[in-house]
Amino acid sequence: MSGRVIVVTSGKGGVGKTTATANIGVALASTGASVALVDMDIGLRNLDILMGLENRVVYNLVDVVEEKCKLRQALVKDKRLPSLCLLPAAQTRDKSAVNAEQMKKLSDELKTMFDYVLIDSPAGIESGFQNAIAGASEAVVICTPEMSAVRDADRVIGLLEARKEEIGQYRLIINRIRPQMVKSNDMMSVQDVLEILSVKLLGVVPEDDEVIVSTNKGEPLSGGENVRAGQAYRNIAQRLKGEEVPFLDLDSLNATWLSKVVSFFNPTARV
Amino acid sequence: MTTTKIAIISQAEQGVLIDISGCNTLAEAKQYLTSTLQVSSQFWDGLTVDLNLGPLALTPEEVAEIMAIVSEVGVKPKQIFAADNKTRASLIASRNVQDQPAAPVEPEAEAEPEATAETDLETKAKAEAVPPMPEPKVETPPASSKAECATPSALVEKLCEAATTTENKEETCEQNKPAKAPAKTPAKATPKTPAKQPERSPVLFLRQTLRSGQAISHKGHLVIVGDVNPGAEIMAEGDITIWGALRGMAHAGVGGNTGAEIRALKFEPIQLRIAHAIARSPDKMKTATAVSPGPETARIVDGKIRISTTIIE
Amino acid sequence: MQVLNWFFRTKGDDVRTRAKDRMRLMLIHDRLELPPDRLASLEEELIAVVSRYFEIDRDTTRFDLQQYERRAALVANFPLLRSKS
Repeated sequence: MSGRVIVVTSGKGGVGKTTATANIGVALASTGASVALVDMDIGLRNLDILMGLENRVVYNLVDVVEEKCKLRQALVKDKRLPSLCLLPAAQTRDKSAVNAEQMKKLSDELKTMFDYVLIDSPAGIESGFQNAIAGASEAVVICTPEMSAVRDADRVIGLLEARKEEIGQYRLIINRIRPQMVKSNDMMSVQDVLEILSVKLLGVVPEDDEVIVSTNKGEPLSGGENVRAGQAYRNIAQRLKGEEVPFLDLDSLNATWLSKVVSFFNPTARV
Repeated sequence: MTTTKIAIISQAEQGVLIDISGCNTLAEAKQYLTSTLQVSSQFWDGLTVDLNLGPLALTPEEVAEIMAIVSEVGVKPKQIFAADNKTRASLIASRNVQDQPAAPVEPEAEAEPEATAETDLETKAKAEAVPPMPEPKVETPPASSKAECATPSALVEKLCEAATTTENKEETCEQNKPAKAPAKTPAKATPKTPAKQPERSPVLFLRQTLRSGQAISHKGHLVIVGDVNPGAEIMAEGDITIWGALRGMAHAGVGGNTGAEIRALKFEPIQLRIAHAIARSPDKMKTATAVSPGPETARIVDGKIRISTTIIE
Repeated sequence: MQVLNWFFRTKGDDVRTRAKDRMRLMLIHDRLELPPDRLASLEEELIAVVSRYFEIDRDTTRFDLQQYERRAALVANFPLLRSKS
């Protein structure tokens, strides 16, 4: 088996990398694919918490790299999906505990075991990021429609472009879009961000309280079919698998006079 | 890639050994010293401190630079160890030397010479405590990964546990070569004897809250006055007693002592380990009502970790 | 009042457009690693060069940084009044 190694990155912190990694991982695994989630945020591990697996972590990525345990021993099985595994980061170490070469080796080993290897990169563009992208052949860049996030995403895209040979493709997820604010022209739209970044879109995730609730429960995507963000992540998973899925209609590219009136009287945005 | 350049190795009655023998350059040594010492400056109050420069080759000026960093936080090394002849000459040249007649250790120091190189009174105690070396760590992985890094208190480690974990094996090998880090050399004689006696081991007493990312590893019993937060890891070969809330990971009886116990005023750990047994918290999210009923003790009963309110069995 | 503002807000002065424009300019500078005063001095020099050949309308001369895909372009517009002999 040779799986795909996909790094989830953003440059800016707090835009939802880890949440996206967890949700995409669950969505992919729900379709029957085998998925490994790798938390590369050494020293600030969080993915285990979002997955609700923090109490099952015995070994971690650094232990594997340092050959204190076998890779299989360190993989934590998901509670709900048997085809989903987590390789947790070490919490009491720092980024320098691993290097790019070791990560490459680890990714190569993981992709013989799983269909998808999703690597949750730390924020920033320093060594932690460099290590995270070392073994990846694809990248997913997350940003929110805020100027600082877009700027950082642009920086990351520039760095990914410079590694064209290794990273064959990179696509963008725009997270926490608020259709309401876009409609009232108070927030950049999906189209605006795409225009500025000139990058392929992988998905759009609306701001959704349900995401917070389900991750607080440690059960990503547990909210059921009608949760908007959940649906967005399922669509993203489908697109990663190569299927054509129409984008959720979140955009108000032509926010006309009439639509303003309509949305004024009917604040529930159409998605 | 090297992870830990500094190991801080503490022993209740003997103070603390700052070991920077893992640093290859002066700049590196300075950087690590600065970052470590500053953050944890209070930690040093009233402690006897020794400094191991390892194989660093330093001129008298460079020695002075190191000493400046150290003294800035009020640390006055009682003894300084160096494996390099040049450094030793520099040390002798500097004023430090009259304080520590024993300072320059023979580069070829093997077990005994090293011990004798230490000052009088402490020799015996130290030699006694030293035996179990890095090796046991290597073979008990769950315990091993932690003992260093990020935060200063993460560096509080037992004398015996030697410097790094990352480089544990490497270092262990190196120690077998003569010219290495004197402070660590002596122990290799008696590794991993199961006859560890936590009862006789010293107790490490800490008065601080351990936060996420911090790790403590100790050869004997561990007493913490303060909370252990989620993401912190504490390990001891003996018992662990927490006068506060345990919310992180605690591992007592590291190395296989199944008689070890963990007790805390408030028991909300993410995970508990005693010897080779692991217990994890229930998967359900803790609700406000499910608070700990008061002081509890975890011990191994029939091979499994049991938590009870019985203080003494 | 807010409602009125909302209705009569013209395109171009809303938050979204401003954010987008700022963003675009910022990224062009970022990508080119362009120091802020570099463009100004370039404009000065360009005007000086063109002025040697033409009389130009300084008031309506425009310099614009534009984005094509992930590349940037400097578009200069010199309204020429007459050629210099």
